[in-house]
Amino acid sequence: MQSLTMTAFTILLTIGIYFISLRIYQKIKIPFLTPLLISTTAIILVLISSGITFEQYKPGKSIMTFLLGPATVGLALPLYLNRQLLRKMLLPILLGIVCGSISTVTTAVVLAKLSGLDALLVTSMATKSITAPIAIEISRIIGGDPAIAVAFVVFTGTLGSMIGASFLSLCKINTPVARGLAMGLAAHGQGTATILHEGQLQGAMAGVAMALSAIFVSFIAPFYIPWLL
Amino acid sequence: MHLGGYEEYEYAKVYWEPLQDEGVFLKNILKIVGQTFLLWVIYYLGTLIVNYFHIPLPGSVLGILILFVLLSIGVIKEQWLIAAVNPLLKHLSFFFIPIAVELMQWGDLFIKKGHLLFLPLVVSTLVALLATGGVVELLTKSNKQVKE
Repeated sequence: MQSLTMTAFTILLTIGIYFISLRIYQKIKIPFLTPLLISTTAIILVLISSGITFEQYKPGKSIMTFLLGPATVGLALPLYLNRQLLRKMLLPILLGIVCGSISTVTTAVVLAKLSGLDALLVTSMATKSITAPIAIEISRIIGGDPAIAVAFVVFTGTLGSMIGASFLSLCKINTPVARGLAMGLAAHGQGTATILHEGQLQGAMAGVAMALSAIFVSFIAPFYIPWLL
Repeated sequence: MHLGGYEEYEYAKVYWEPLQDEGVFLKNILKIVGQTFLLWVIYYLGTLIVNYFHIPLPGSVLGILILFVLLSIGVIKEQWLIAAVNPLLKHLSFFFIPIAVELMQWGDLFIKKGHLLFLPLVVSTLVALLATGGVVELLTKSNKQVKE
């Protein structure tokens, strides 16, 4: 019974803090203080200060993440709604995604390895530019750690959404299609939300890049990452 | 192929409207539950197939591919899903919170190795932007010139 109360408490705590952090994020509008970062930090602080271990938090975790799979499948819908755009620009989209995904995965893994990081960190680095729900699954398959993978994904998304647009302008990458695809590929959902401010086409392209790069990397990762390591 | 003149992309659809419309969510709750169940069935199917055939692919990715095909051949209509997909994607980051909380077990590792993580994370992000943006910019521009 006590563990049931604990589970209920951790779930209510997580949901409550999430909605509070949404409000905070809307109010202060500091790009790197995302609801995810605020909530996670707050929850960890509450758990540590009240002496709750992660083992006690775990049962609530599996209940709360139950809908993650179905939500991820839902990514097919924006992709389908943009099918005309996809068909029209198929070659640049596909080549951009293949080149971008392979180059980012390779640099991340090789540089992490050269920095002398543990195998677990290097492997979890491989999925850093993939949207979190799929990064979690890929990192399980290739032997990384899902929680560390999420941390890398969020760091990348935050960095990309903060500097991405100016970096693209600096590199004289100016067409809306190229900017959108680059932001979606490099910084997944957070990049998509950011580049959407430049226009609908950029936002739609970013969404397409985010979904397709996740699919592409999940096909190559189980073979390519062990080969890189 | 028309690649210049972006006026032809009015149909570019964006689903990403974060943090809006809580009221709509409450009104459509039954619809959302039903549609979420449909998404779950597709997800479950994807997971079942990858597990049964030992395919090294996330079940959710196969689920995306299955749903895309079902939408394309008209077995499933977009209206059957949109009420659930919108709030689920809008609040997608909620699901990462419980997963990220597990980082509390990795605190020491990040304190000791944290500084070593910056180089690969930052460089690979810039590489991703430059490679994707560069390739697409080059392709769209050269195509435009061919047309002109």
